[in-house]
Amino acid sequence: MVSLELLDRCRRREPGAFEELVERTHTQVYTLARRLVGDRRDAEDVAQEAYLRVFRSLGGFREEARFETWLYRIVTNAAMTFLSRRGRFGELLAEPEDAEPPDGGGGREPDEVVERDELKRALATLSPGMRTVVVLKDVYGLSCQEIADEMHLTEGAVKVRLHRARKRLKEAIYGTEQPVRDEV
Amino acid sequence: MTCQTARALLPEYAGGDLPGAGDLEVHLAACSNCSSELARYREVAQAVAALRLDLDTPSELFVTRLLSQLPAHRIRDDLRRIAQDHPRAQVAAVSLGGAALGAAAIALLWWRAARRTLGAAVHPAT
Repeated sequence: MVSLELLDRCRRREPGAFEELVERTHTQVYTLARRLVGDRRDAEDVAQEAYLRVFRSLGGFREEARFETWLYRIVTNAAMTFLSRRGRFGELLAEPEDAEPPDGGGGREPDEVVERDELKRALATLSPGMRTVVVLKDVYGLSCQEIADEMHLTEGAVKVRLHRARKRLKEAIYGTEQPVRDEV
Repeated sequence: MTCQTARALLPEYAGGDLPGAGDLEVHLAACSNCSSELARYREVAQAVAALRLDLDTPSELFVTRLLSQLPAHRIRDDLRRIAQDHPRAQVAAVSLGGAALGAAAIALLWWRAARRTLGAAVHPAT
């Protein structure tokens, strides 16, 4: 996505280098921002704030191999700041409730391909906190500790949300599993 | 391991977050229901990971607006705007630049002359 050479040019503030970095990364950055805050305009504000932070702190960034993760963490942090300014941060911290998940897709075969729209509908049924955790971990590859740092949660709380989110998604797509009868 | 214990571990196992799950693997090898359940989790995990390639596009002006907010661009754009709005400012900027250059040249000549004088005082010719 971004070469070491480009990062180096950005650090030296070479004319046109940061513009190139923005050109190469802005759709990914905007998409993540959109997944975290929802609204298109809000996502643009979050992405803009994230790039300003990248511009200011790129000089001190040395782990080139982890550039994408670093970039996604900055976007997440900017989104969390945005949500807390809007009084919506509490939605993310709310304990995931144990309500019955929507029961969908009963009778599907286990190896049947999950359609993208079907998955997006299932994601929309998750609480904001669960959705954020599963998106950051399973789509963008952040570790539970990194997510915990950005969301001001403990690593354990992130793992609980992740477990429930994955279970809910599976149930929203394949239907609720029957109570197990121990066989082995 | 019981099915109930195995089911509780499947979301993490399917997500690759459960290294060294030997007991679970033994159970899965013997239990078709739990291995079907694992296949469902894996299908979902694969679909979720694929969302990374599902990109949204911001509005057309997003990049232009973003770049104009960067500090270096902001200073450059502000200067350009001032120059366009106030043609006299261009003349003033050029005059100021010329004056600064002239002052620097005079200071350099003065400094070199002062050094030469000081050198002559410290090491007088014999």
